[in-house]
Parts: sequence; C-alpha cells; structure tokens
Amino acid sequence: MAIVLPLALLTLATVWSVFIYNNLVRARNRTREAWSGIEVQLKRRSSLIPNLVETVRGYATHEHEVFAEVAQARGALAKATGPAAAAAADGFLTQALGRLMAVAENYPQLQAASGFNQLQSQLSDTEEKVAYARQFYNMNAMAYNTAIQSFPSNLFARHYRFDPVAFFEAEPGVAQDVHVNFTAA
Amino acid sequence: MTPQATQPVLVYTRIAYNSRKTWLLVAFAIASIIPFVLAVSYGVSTFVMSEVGGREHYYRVRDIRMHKHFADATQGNAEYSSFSDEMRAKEMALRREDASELMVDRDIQLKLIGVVSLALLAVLGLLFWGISSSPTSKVLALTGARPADAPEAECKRLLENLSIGAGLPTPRLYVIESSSPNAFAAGTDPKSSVVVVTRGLLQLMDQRELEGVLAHELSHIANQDTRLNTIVASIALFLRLPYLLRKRHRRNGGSTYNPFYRRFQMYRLVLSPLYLYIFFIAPFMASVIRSAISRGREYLADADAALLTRYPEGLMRALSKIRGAGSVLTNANPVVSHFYFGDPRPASFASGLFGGNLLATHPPIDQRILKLCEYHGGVPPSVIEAAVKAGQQFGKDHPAIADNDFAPVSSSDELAVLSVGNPMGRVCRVVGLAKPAPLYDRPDPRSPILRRINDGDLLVVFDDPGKYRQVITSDQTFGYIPYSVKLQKTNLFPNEVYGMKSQPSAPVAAPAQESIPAPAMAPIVASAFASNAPVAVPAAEPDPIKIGGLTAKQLGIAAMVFVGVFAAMVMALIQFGGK
Repeated sequence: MAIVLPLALLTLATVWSVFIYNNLVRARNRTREAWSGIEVQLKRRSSLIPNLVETVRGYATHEHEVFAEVAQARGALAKATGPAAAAAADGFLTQALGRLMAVAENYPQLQAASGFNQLQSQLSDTEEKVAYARQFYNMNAMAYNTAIQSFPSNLFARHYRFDPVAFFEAEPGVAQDVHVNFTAA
Repeated sequence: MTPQATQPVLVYTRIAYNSRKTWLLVAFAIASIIPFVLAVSYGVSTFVMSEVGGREHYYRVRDIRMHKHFADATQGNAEYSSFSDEMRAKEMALRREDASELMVDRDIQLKLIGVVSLALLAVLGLLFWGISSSPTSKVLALTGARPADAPEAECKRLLENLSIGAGLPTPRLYVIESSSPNAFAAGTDPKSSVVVVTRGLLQLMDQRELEGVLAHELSHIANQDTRLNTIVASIALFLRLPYLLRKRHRRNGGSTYNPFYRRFQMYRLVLSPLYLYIFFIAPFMASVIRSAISRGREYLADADAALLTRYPEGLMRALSKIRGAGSVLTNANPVVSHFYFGDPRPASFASGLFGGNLLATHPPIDQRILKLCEYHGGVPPSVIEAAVKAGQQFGKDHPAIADNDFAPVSSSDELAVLSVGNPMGRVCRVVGLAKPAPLYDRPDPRSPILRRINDGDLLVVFDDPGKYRQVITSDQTFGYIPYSVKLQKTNLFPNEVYGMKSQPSAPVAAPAQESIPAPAMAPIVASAFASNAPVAVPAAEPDPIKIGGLTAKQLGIAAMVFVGVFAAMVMALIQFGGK
C-alpha cells in the first residue's frame, strides 16, 4: 500500500511532463509552419517583380538607379534567412518598390497599360497576403515564446533547447508612406 | 443608438470568458438529457404497466378488502369466530402474495425504464448521426446556395487572404441569390467547410465591411462552432422531438387513427406534470439553451474577427448596415439559423410572451456593436449612423420578398434536417474497376445502358435504398449502377463535379475515407421514417430524385436497434409479466 502512492505520483509526473514536452514541440512546429507561410508569400511577391520592372522599363528607359535598387533589394530578400533579416530585407524591398511606383506615376502611358494595372493589383494583393501571413506567424510566435518562457515548461525548454523565435516586424520606416517622401525629394 | 467607449476590454479576455461560458452551457445541455430521458421512460413504463401488468393484483386487493370487511363485520359474533380466523389467515397469505407480486411489478417497471432509456439514448445517437452526416451539402441544399463564380472574385480574394491570417485552408465560397444581406459558414472540419454569402451582402458592403463579415464566418470555422452546433442541435432536437412530432401529428389531421394516441390522452390527466414537462417545458428549455449557446458563439466570433482583421470598425459598420437593412431570409431553417451572420428569422418569431432575448439565436445588433466598441475605444457615432442609414436605404430599394427561389419550401420545418437526407448527393470516385461498368436507365439489368462507367470516374451518389444506386455522372447523365461498383467518398461537392473531366488516377485528388456498404434492412424502416416527411426537392434539379431520409447505413442500424429493443421488451414481458 505504501508503494502505491509514490508510484501513482511518479506516473502522474511522467504523463504530465510528456504532455508539456509535446505541447512545446507542437508550438514550435506551428511556428515553423507559419513561417513557411510567410516565405511562400514573399517568394510570390519576388516573382512578380521582374515582370513589373520589365513593364516599367519599357516606358521609363532612363531610371536605371531605381531598377538597380529594386534588383538589389530583391536579391537581398532571397538571401535573407530568419525572421529579423527577412523583415529588414522585406522593408527595403517595399521602399524600393515604392520608389518604382513613384517613377511609374510620371508616365501616363504606363499607367494606362492594362498589364501594368494588373501587376499593380497583384502586387497589392500579395502585400496584403504577406501582412496576414505575418499576423498569423506573430500570433504563433507569441504563443510559442510564452510557452517556453513560462514556468514549468521553461525547464524543459532550456534542457531540450527550445529557443525563442523573433517576431516578423515591419521596420519603423516602412510603415510610413515612402511614396510621398520620394516625390517631394 | 450611439455606441459609447466603455472600459476597454482585452479581446483575449473576452474570448476566454466566452469559451468558458459555452462549455458550461454545453454541460448543462448534456445534463438536461438525464431528467428528460427518465421522465419519458417513466411515462412510457407507467403506461405499459397499466396496460399489461397488475390487473390480477388489483382484483386480489379488492378481494382482500372485501374479506377484511366481512371479517371485521363478523368479529363480535362468537359462532363465526372460527370462520373469521380462517378468513384472517387466508387474508394474510394473500397479502404476502400481493406484496411479492407488487415487488415483481416494480421490478418489471424498473427494467422497462432501463430499456426505454437505452432506446431513447439510441434515438439521440441517431439524431446526432442524422444531423452530422454530410451536413454541409444538406445546409447548402436547404438554403439553395450556388458556388461562387467570376463576379465574386473580389470576395474570394478577401476570403483567401483572411484564411492566411487565420491559418485555415481557404473555404469554398457559395452565394445565395437573395437581396437580404446575410452570410453563414458550414462544414464539420476546416478542410471541407464553406462560407456562404447572399447577393445582397455583396451589393451592400464595401471591402472593409465584407472583410469583417468574412472574418466573422472564418472565426466560426476556426472555433469549430459547426461541430459544437451539431452536438447542441442534436440534443435540442432530441428534447424537442415529442413536441415536434405532436405538432406534426396535429397538423396532419388529428388523432382519430392512432389508438395509442387516444389512450395516451386518457393518461394525460394522470401524468399531467410529466406530460407538461415532456411536451412543453423540456422543448422550451432546449431551445433556450440552444439559443444561449448560439448567442455566446456570436460574440466570440465577433471578437475573433476583430482580432483577425485588426479593424473592428469594418465589422461595426457591417453590423450597422445590416441593422438598417434587416437580415431576414425566407426559408431559414431553425436548426441552422444560428449559423448566420445576422438573425435570418423575422422579428415576430422571437418576440413572444417571453421576450425576444430568451429564444433569439443572435444577440441584438446594438449589443454586438457595443461589445466591439469595448476593444476598439469606439468610433464616431456619425459613422454608425451613416452606415445604418445606408442599410435602411438599401432595404428600401431591395425589399426582402420571398426571392430565394432555390430553397425548398419545407426547409422551415425543424425535422426537415433529418428528412431531407442528402438531396444534393455525395461525390464519390469509382475505384477498383477491372472493366467499365454499365449505367442503366432504370433499376433493372435489362434496361438500356446509357453509358459505361470507368475506373476513376467521379459520380454524384444519392442515398436511396434499393437494389441499384442512383447516380449522376460528371456529364449530368442520371442513371443506376449496381452495388458491386466500389466507391470512395471525396471532399468535393456535387456542383464542382458537373462538367469536370474524369480523371483516370484514383488516389491523387482526394484522400479516401471509407467505402459505402450496401443497405441491409433499409426499406422497412425507410417507410416508417419518411412516411410523414414532406418531400423536399430543390427547385433547380428537375431530375426525378426521391429523398430517402437517413442514409442506408443509418437506417440499417436504426432497424437493428429497434428490433433489438422490441425483442428485449417482449422478452421482459414474457418472463416477468402475466403470471
């Protein structure tokens, strides 16, 4: 009889710890999955850019600087790994695209081209998708970080190396309207 | 109505509070089954006992009383004393016998209560099964929705983006051709769920507002409210079954043919509190609980939508517009009315003796807007007023007439959810076919062969019991195939199959769940179940499709359960009764 109580407690503790560990794994995998959702949308956005640049180049032949900047920003985004770097690269790309759009505004024929309008709406749709994917990722990242930082699961997290993940945050400068800044300059 | 910024509440707090409340209510609903089952089984067993048992016992008690009376009357007389003693001894013996017989009676009654309770629980299980079997196509059929097409591309795009934010697979979009602005979500799991909007909603709302409505519906899917609703709806329907059957019986022309019913009228007086409870109190309680749960889930979905769009104002404006325009849909089934964004039922339905609040499936729109203000800090009243005005104008321009021609007429009957069966059919894929199978014109192997079915073809299959399966092929040929053709369920909907090219490879498109077995004893019970049911055929489908009620599998099991329960009752009576 005396052995039953410790045995029961031990079983309970084991089941409980398995439960905590599995929860941590689940949270981490969800975060990864959400991150891959962002990557998909970022890639989609990147793949729209060459077409857009070519269309604009057809009308605005002399704006080499802007094209180079967009190409550079796109390359940087492709190379970026991890939420923080990707967020920064995404911010640069958004800025560069803003400048490209500002350039495009100076060419009325380009504005009238149906292909350009379509690309523009696709781009804004993808940007919206990135925003939603970011929101979903951040929500999962918050749940995961909270899980690995709170007691008692933080004991497991430290032992099994569950590391906190970074949020995918828009750069402070990106949130402003770059569009207006450029045309003023 | 001017929304005021009250104490700001964190959305997360509201969500947690709502979830707790829901589970309490569900627990209450499940707990309320027990007294109902006991009441019904007590009523039934009392009725049965009064019919078959205890009659001899009753005569004997009367005998004893007479003997006792006689003995008492003759007690003082000495010459009769020996006779009196004899009588008294006889009386004692009879009393002992009666006591033991009373015990036997009580024993039988207890057993009857047990048997009837089990049967009732089986009925509850069947109701759950009936409601949960392909509810999506049922709901779509009941509302007459059609798949969205090119004109709704923008709405589709918004839905897709919001699903990314909610981490859900994008639900399919359906449209109801009604000018009343409303929307709902249906589907047992996120993978196979649909979002349905009305034409009026698409016309009335701007992008932000539409986003709010879609986010609300997506939150219903993410919270798995449809699953919860299946549980709640089946419990509610179970508790309301006596009431609904009684109502239908009355409507179909009284009780002259039903001897059981007439006898029951006799016992109505005896069992009157029980009768009131079974036929009025429990059904009323059930609809109150169903509505309370539904209202809680509406608030929860609003809060989640605010969190998903990060723009509660869009949802607030959408609600205000609906407040102005009204969201009444004709033919909205009470069983599914809590799926809608706005209450689809006319106002007079809810505002009865007990006030609208108890039975309303949706909280008042003003309350919903106020709750949203709590997370947002409020919007200028002018915005809300302008939205309400816009809605009123829209309502004036598009009067809510009975313009939903696609919905079958009987869909406002609660029992229609069971009797409609699956009128749209289920999409299955032909598997394991060595050589092409024939598609017959009639359920007869000698009838003309319309065409051949190949391995991997997609078919729309109907649940009618019979020797042949009724199917529609992807090129819309209606015919019969033998049961030997093996089928696999898919996640597709019938509307998506028509006009689709048949694909040769079986397991690629959709993972198979289970194959459908042939019906065993279906036709016998089918008549019992479906005889009263009004036949509901979607107006758009001219094909001669009969509605079979529950699926063949369900009918088979129902038949087994009923035969089993009947046999148990008969055996109990033979063994314990009539000695």
